Amino acid sequence: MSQPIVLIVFYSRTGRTETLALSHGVGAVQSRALIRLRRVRDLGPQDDADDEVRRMHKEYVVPTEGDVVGADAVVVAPPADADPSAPEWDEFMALLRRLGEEGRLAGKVGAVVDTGGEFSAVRLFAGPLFGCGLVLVPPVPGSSPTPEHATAHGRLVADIARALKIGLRRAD
Amino acid sequence: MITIRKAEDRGHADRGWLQARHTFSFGSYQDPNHNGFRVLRVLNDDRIGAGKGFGPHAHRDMEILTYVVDGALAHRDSMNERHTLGPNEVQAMSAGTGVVHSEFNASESEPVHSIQIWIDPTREDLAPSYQQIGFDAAEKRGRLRLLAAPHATPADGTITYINQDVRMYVTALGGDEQVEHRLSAGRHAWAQVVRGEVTVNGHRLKDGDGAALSDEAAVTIAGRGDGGEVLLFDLP
Repeated sequence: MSQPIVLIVFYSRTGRTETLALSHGVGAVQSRALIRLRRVRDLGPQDDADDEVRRMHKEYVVPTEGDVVGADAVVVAPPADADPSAPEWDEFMALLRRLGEEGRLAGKVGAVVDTGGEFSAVRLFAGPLFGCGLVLVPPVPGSSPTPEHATAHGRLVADIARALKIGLRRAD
Repeated sequence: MITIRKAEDRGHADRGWLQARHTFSFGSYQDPNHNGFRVLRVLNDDRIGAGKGFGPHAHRDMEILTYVVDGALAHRDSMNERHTLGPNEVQAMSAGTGVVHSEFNASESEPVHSIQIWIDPTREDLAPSYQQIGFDAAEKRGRLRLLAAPHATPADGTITYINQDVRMYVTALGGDEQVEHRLSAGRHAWAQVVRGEVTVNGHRLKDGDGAALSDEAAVTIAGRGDGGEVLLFDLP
């Protein structure tokens, strides 16, 4: 099967980053990929969670090891002001580091959705993803944190994941 | 020729919060003898528990119709459509090049009973779209109310438009009422009972039963007992 599986992991409280993650997923689907959407876990008390956060708790599950191992591309969509050491991301990034050390991310694509903040999230997450052994796909040229650019990036990620998957299979 | 698909013979998925009956192959239920009928690809009869539902997932190249029998469904999608769908409404989503959506029971206390139908589009890579209409319950009482049809079909009342040569009707019949739908040469039909009891061309059908009709000049649906509600598809 050459249909790539794209795992998109995001964190959002207002729905803005969720929208960009969904848009990235639409792009991947446009390129005929299968997608899995996951939201990293909230940490700390959620007594003040508003309706958007409660809805997302209901609609999404947290990413699992099986999600990552089964994916051909691992895409993260952090909020604009997030870095990989943020508490919400710590568990998922630790999972990627462990899988990377075990060599189980070899041949998989990685990407960071441009969610703004002068590319800070892209820059901050790209290094750790690269360090886990993922083949990074940068945002599209001239990227901005818009649904249209997220969709174009999703197409690119799916296309490269497919090409890598086919190429590695031929090389076997 | 009429072929009956009994409710109890359908595929069954039990996820606790979801009791789904699959008329045709779907998900983990795969039966090569029931991989759809004509361009009808999926016909799922879903009962979703309070507050539960399907998280965001993707569709591509499919016309998706949703009809709520009881309760209310909350819909959100990547086209920024956010709606609640209840009885006497129909939703038509053309997935086209790709849509991501979620569907949840809009109630935290009551279950929702919905029918979801997938239809092959006339071609791939269409632009995604979303439509939702409502109608008065009286419009389906004792007659066939057109709910979905190909683009540019003239209609008596508001309908949804789909990218396939299919017409979907609904009728609610009392025990002493009947309707007839003429089938043009070469056309086929599927009748799906969503509530109560009826006869279709003389064959007794109950809630959840379906019937495939080919080489028939007409489909005659008559209420039995306390009557019933039926979705009727006129198919190429």
